[in-house]
Amino acid sequence: MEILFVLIPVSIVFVALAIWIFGWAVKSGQFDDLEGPAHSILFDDDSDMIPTRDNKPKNKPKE
Amino acid sequence: MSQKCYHCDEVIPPGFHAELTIADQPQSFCCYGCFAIAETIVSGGLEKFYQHRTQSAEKPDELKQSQEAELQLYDDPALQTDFVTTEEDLSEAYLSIGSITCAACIWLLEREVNKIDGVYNFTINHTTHRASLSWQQDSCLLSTILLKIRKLGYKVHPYQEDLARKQAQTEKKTAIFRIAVAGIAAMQSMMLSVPLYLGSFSGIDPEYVALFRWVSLIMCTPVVFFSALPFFKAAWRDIQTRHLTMDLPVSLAIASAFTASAYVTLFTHSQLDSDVYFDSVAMFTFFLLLGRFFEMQARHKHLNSDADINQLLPATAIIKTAEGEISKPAHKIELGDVVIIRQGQVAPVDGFVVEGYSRFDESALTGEFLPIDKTLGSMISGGTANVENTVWVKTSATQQHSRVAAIIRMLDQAQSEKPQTVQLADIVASYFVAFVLLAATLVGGYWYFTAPEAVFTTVLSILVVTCPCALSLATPTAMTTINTFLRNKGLLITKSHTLEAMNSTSDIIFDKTGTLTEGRIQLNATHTFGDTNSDTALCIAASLESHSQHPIAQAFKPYFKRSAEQVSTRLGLGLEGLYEGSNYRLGNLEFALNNTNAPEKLQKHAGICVYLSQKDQASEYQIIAQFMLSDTLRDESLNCVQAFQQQGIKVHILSGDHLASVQETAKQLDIKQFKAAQTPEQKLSYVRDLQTKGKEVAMIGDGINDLPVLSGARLSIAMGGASDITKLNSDAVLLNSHLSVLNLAFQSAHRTRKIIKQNMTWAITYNLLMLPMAAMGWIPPYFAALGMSISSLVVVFNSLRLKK
Repeated sequence: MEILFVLIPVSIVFVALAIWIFGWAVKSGQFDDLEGPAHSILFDDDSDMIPTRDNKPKNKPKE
Repeated sequence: MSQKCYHCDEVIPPGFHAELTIADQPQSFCCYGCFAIAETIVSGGLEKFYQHRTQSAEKPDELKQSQEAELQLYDDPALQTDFVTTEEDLSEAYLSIGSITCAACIWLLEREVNKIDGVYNFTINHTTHRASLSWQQDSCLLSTILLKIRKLGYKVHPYQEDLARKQAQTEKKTAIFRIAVAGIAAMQSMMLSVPLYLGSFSGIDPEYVALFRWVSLIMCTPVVFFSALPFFKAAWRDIQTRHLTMDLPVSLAIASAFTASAYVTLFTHSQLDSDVYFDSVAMFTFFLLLGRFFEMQARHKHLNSDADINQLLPATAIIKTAEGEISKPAHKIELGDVVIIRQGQVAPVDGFVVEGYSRFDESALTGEFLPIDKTLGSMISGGTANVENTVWVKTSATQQHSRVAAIIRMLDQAQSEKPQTVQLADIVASYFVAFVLLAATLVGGYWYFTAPEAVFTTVLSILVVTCPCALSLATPTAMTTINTFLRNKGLLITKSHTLEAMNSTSDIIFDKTGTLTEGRIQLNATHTFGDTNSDTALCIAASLESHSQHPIAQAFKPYFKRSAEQVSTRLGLGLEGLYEGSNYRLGNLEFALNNTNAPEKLQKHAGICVYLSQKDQASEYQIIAQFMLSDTLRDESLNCVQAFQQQGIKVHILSGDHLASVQETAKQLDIKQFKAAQTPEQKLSYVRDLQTKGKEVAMIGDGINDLPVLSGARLSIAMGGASDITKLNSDAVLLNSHLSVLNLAFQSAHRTRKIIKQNMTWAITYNLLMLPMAAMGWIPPYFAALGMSISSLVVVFNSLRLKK
């Protein structure tokens, strides 16, 4: 169990890294718009992929 | 039941037809503005906008030629230095978009603008309605993009960062980072405390005890010295001002728990005879910060509303200088600059006329819709519109110091005053905190003499578990949420006691003109002669009236299709012009007839009549249509009055207008109490009369002559078109003049009171239960932290329910 003396300090380093990355995200404006992404995932924009009567979709999704 | 416009949900004026098939269904519109926008949306293949949206759109302002030209001013590089940055060939700008009502609007705008050739990226922030645009100057002009946005019915301005918004942004960013640090540390500490707890059951070696304690200490240090700083600062302020708030026990708890645990870690032997509380400290801080964050979000919401200076005053202006005419951003206009204001333009600053003469529409400031003559030396206020001829105005106050800006600043300041309820809650909270501190000391003393090892944990638990959150946290959240909600619906609450006054109102007095009625001239009916079609007659009339800014012209605006030629205005008489080859006249009876005989079948009408005549082969003018205009009752007046009567509130009308029209209005609305031809003094004595009978009176008017009464009533509401002094002195302003919002406000006041009562009940129950248990030593600190945090979150979320 002595390995804990190595592992736990290592995890402290990781936590510090995580906090630093979070700080960068906040500063670069990732958290500025907390409502937008919730709405934009609901807008599909796939109406031209729905197949018409002759069963051919006008716009095929990229293969 | 009148039909509603598919685009903006306003009532379609009788006789107006504009239809478009959207998603295989024919839909009607209220004006050519909405129709044009719908056409643009459909032709862009974006019909899904109407399916996606959750709110109706705003009725668009007519995009006049002059406004289009104004947009082109933004292509001027001198103007662009303010808000555009260019790197290589890509330019970036921040714009502020107005009239956005829901997420679908943002979807629509983003798609449409991104389609424009040369636009690299265009995104709008859902919260702030700020757009960031990057485009290539060579491929596409900024004015093209701005025009597209305007054509879709939205307002657009360069984004002007003001101090309040900047501070709010920084505050929000720091708060999020603090929460993140506290959250991560809380999770780590909780994880590391598990072996310590398990160890006290099944045994653990001292080296590991030391390891876990040390690591917990390291994790918790940034929480105490960074994340919890706001609490310490507030507690210090509390001590200095001798006004106790929740922050004091919280800070004491955090500081003492951390210090004690640090002492144990650093100086004692690693035996498990004392506990370490780093996990409680971190969790406690995390939950408290979360609660504060939600309250801050609600508080900042009002900063993003569109009702600010930028939307009332124009962003650019043309200045006359020795070198000629130059364009300037409006906020850079200096004292003494001579501004050129053309017909249809809005004055950007306060000033006085140095050349030219014209008439100005001052309804933005005074509510008076008839234009006022301005000649040499006349004062012009920023925000008023030039109705006739070009004038040259010398600036006497810059945009920041103009009357309009001052009014908005004062309104904002009044809004940020602490409501009375909150002040009361704060006082009760401070007594509660004093009680808790006292209890903690007493209980601590007791335990010190009976079982000293339990002193610390017990005192800590008492400090932590008691929560005056319903008072200090939830009530402000509730008030802010409801204020923002009502402001978005169009009611701006400026004084603190407004909601409580709504709850206790027994009688409500309405003014007539401008409150129950529209306050502007509307087309009631059209009567045609011969084989003239009423639609055609309306088109002709509208095409002639498009050249006039007179209030009567506004009545014909919805019917405008295209302009007439060679239109000349005869002051006080009417208009004459050419439409599709024929000569027409529109005006009063003598002018339209040009002194020939009148047809016998003229309709009688109590209001204003305007006649349209056509010049025939014999060069005689034949009347082809008679338009009947009057100030009509607002559509929602009946519903509004009925709703109040159903609630048990008595409705009265007090008006300065003559008896016949007041009687007519009272009959239409089924109001039994009304008085006509009232002077302001008579109105005031009527109100005082009711008050001596023990009634609580609310008064609604547009206030040009209502000022004394509005201060006399307990609750006064000004209509959106009222003069600025009236708005300042009233307790609330109905910005969009929709009376239905009043009913909504009264209902919301009831809801708010209910929710605050619920919060208080919860807080009392919780504290009565927890405090004795903590004093007995039954609650360990981590549990106390959990309980306290959950209690605050419960109460804050309950308040946030008011958003719906």
